[in-house]
Amino acid sequence: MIYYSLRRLFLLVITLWLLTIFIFLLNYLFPGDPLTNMTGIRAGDEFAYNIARQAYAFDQSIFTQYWHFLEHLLSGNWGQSLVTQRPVFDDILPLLGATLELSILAMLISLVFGVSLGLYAALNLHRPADTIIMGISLSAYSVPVFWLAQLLILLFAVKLGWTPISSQINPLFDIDVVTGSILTDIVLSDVPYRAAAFADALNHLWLPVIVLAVMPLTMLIRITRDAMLDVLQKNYIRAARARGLSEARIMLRHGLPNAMQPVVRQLGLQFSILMSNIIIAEMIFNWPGIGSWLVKSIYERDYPVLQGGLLTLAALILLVNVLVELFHAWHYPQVRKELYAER
Amino acid sequence: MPNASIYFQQREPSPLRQIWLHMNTNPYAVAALYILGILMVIMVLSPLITPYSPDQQFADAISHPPSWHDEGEIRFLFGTDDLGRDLLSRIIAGSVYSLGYPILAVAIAATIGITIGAWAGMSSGVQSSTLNHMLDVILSIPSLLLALVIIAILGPALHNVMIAITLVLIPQFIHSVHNAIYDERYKEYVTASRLNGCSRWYLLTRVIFPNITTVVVMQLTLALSTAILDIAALGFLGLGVQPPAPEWGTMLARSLDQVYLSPWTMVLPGIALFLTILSINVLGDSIRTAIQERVRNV
Amino acid sequence: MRTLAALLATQCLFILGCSPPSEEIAPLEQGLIYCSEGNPESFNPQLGTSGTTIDATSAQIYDRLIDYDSGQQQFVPALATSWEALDKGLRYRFHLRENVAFQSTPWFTPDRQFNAYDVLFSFNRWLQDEHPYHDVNGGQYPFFVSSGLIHLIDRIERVDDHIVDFHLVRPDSSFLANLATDFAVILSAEYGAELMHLAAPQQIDRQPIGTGPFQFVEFRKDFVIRYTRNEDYWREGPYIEQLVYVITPNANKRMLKLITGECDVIPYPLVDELAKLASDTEIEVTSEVNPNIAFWAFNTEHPPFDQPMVRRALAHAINRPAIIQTIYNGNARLASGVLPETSWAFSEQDQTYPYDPERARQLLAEAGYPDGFSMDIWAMPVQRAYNPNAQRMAELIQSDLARIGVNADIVSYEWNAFRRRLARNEHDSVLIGWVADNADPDNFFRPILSCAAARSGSNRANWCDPEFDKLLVDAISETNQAARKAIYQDIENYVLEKVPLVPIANSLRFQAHRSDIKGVELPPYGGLSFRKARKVAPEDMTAGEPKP
Repeated sequence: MIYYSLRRLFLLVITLWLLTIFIFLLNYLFPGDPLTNMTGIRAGDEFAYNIARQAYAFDQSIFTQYWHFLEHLLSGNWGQSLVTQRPVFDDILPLLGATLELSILAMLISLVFGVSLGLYAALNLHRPADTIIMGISLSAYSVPVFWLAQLLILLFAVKLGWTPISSQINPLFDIDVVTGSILTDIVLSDVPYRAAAFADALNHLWLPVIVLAVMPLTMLIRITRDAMLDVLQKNYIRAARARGLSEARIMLRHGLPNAMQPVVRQLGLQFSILMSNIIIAEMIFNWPGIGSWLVKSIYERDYPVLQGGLLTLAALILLVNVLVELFHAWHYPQVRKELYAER
Repeated sequence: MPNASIYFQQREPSPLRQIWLHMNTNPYAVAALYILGILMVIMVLSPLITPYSPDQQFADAISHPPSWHDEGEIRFLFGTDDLGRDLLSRIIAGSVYSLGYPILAVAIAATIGITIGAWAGMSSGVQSSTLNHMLDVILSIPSLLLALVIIAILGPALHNVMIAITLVLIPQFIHSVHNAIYDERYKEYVTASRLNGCSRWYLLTRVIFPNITTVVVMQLTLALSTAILDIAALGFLGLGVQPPAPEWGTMLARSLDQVYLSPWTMVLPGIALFLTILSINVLGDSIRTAIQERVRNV
Repeated sequence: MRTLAALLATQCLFILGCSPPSEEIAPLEQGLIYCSEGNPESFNPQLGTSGTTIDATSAQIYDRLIDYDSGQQQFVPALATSWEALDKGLRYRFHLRENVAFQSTPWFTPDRQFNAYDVLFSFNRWLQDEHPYHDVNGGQYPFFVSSGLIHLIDRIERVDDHIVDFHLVRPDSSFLANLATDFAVILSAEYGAELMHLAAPQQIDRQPIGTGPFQFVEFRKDFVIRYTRNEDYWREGPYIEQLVYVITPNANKRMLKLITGECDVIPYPLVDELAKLASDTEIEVTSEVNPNIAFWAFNTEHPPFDQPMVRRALAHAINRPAIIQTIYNGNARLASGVLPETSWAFSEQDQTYPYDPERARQLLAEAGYPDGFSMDIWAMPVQRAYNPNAQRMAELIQSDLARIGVNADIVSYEWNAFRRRLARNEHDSVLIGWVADNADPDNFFRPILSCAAARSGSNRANWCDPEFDKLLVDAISETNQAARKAIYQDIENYVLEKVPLVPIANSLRFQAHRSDIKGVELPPYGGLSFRKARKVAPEDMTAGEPKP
């Protein structure tokens, strides 16, 4: 396991390193001056520009430049926004918090409901319940997230008035932004109206979470169902039946744990899909997260911000994927054997 | 009976044909196939069958509701948008952008991706393992994110969106084809052919390829739905196809300005998008189930 | 779900030991949410001309020496208690108000009150090139350059702590009007010195300090600007504890948020939609006459737009009545020239080109473009009083142009990036407009079409015509109003002949607010003010207007 973990982590480091090369090269691909794209310092500001030129070794070879770029990147110096002139790195943390809050909640909801619905469908194979669940899941999977979000806003926010249209919380609640995750920030803050603020934040939160949960949810239903069907054909289930165990016991003790293996394996992929949707959903719900920040930076041609957003999102996705793989390998030793046997 | 075979011979249908037979038993898959077929026909004929030009503005019919509505008019079957353009014509013409261009992008990406994937799958050693690792990396990053970055470099325009989507899809094809060939190439039947002295080209095209067509077809449907969604998403964000082109995602984004008063401008393009993606997904799904059944039955 | 949230809230009470609900509602009742249409460029109106920046800063954070009361049509005291013109109008003396405190914030505590040094600091910043703050944050002061104020004021002299003299180069009747605009705000010299000492001068426009009714708390780009009440404000108001700007660029979303109560006040509402959707008891729509003009300007430096004939052809090509019908829903007046109907120099005579695609094609052929050409149309990403939807207008024009063989691409950027690029003249043509800062007709020509405006980057046509500038000078030096009117008609005809821009519409300025909000001021010249805004409880609403 240690060997396997090291291998995976090494691969992660290599991947992240490739990512930094890619981002470094982007500075040359984006329109305009590469140094400005990298640091956010315009050539008009000669004094600062010359300092940056020295600091990033722009008078030397491209390899030296990359080396200096990497140094700055690792020390948390990600340049400054071309629009606000604020350091990019300082802005990222609260944005990341807001994005993580949404994605973790959506992932949890989709996991809980996806696995239970998938299980239910598998146990009712080819009965109406199964057909309905699978039909709905396939349809819901095909709804573009930007359309779904708008339809739900129209229904729940405008027609029914159950929830606000956008943003994290009623802005009159003055909550200091610390982590960016609004629920955490409310708990951390010392305002007198914490309970009301918490309720208000939840009221703002549930709709985007549901919108985001839909796609991973439908995928997880299908994966769970297929996995369960596979498991149910296995000999050990038959053996368990032959031993006269109760159906519930067979499902929960023997079926489910084994059916979870392909589900866990897929979690990384589901997270990637979620992140792709979160970019759009944050725009629609005016959520102060990395995704909307990234898209707005494209509108504004704010390349230092774009790089920061890209690096953060990509690194987050890679990290989650590796963590899922590690968990998978740790929890299901048989997989490790498969992986070794392959090479 | 000159044609009669002397020996009893059970002809095993080709994998693709097996899938086809299996799909024919699934009414949803057949329906999806028909819907997709109709959409394709509409797309091909779109310049001929639109009632009006998609850009023609009727100043006397601003935001007219669809014809089934009380205030609707039969000459605008799906109603008009806020500039008085016929929505039916725009949705039909939009199929070229939202279905035709994704098909084109997938076709290009598939050609390039399958070629590289096949080459990588047939070669061995370090280079293929390196390639695999690289692809693992690229594939875990969502295609939309990469497409956004490419658009940031090239600027939002139709041809740039095509470049972005094609580039993003290529690694997926390489990966799936490479893996499929990798899985097949040490199986007994391939080894047998190799011992028979077949050339690598023959091995690839005549021995292995028929057995991975199902994987390729599944990947095609997957890539197509990704391409449609990504092009629409880019259009929705205003970073894709630019107005006045009636791309469905762009239409959806525009419709937000009057969604409350003329909801049909949002609902109808959305339904078009949804139906297209749904039919492709149902097809892909039934192919996948068919493959699974086949594997289970072996 | 609401019940779920409520349930969780009670859970929270339990877990966190939060205070009882009765006290919790306070921030909601004592605050006001204004859903603005975009980000401010900075927090100092001296640096920009954008209405968004003005609305967000000028009347909230700062005060001016004098204000203009549009009801009484006269100048009224603000930070200056009185003023007089001396030396035949070459010197203006201002007596400054005493006991006016600058805002005290976590990042700055004033040691002294407002005095003459603050006036000197605020004006010399843009007046003197060698001023330490002149080049901070860009060093561009477009309003003062294009209005000519920068050349009009010779120097400013401190007589004593509460008297300052403005020495002018020549007498100018528009001087006071310019001082009363939203751009001529008073900054704190003490704060400037402290920032200089801390080597962070750029903070002066990012963490602003003024004497105004609200003080700045925080700005999260694309999300909120937060202000709190200035406890020591020197005159009436403010009545609300918190003022929050929620940045909501999408007009439809703004309207929906007003209906659901997420916004208390919104600018530039979709008037027709709102009328159909909301009941009058819930939402009030106010409209003010606003001296504005929406126009389509050509970058006269970019070929082929350097040829007047091409510009004239395009002016003939667009169907302006259709634009009024589609974009404004008829709520605007088809512009008959640059000046709006409300100006005294306005004449009934139509000084525009009629819609005539045939003629347009013919002119294009004469100019040497029988097969048309490709161009771009820049469309503002935000709503303004003069143009509720520039992008949609651009689409209409795009299809009009296609009819004469001109292929147009629509270009749009985020509002501040858009303005920056416009100032660099990257556009072929742009759909934009102008809102006058004062009642003088000069304000409709000099800031948008003069050579000075071309240099300061606010001339969207990038048009510099010495003959036109000469007409402007003739007009301003003439004192007889009838004679001036005649000159302004000449100017209109000159614009008609050269077509640096195509006037499109004059419209009202709309604003919508929930019925429990009273006292939001929307003066015709300048940005809105929340100084007297307040939230009234529903039972008080029938009791009568609390508006002073």
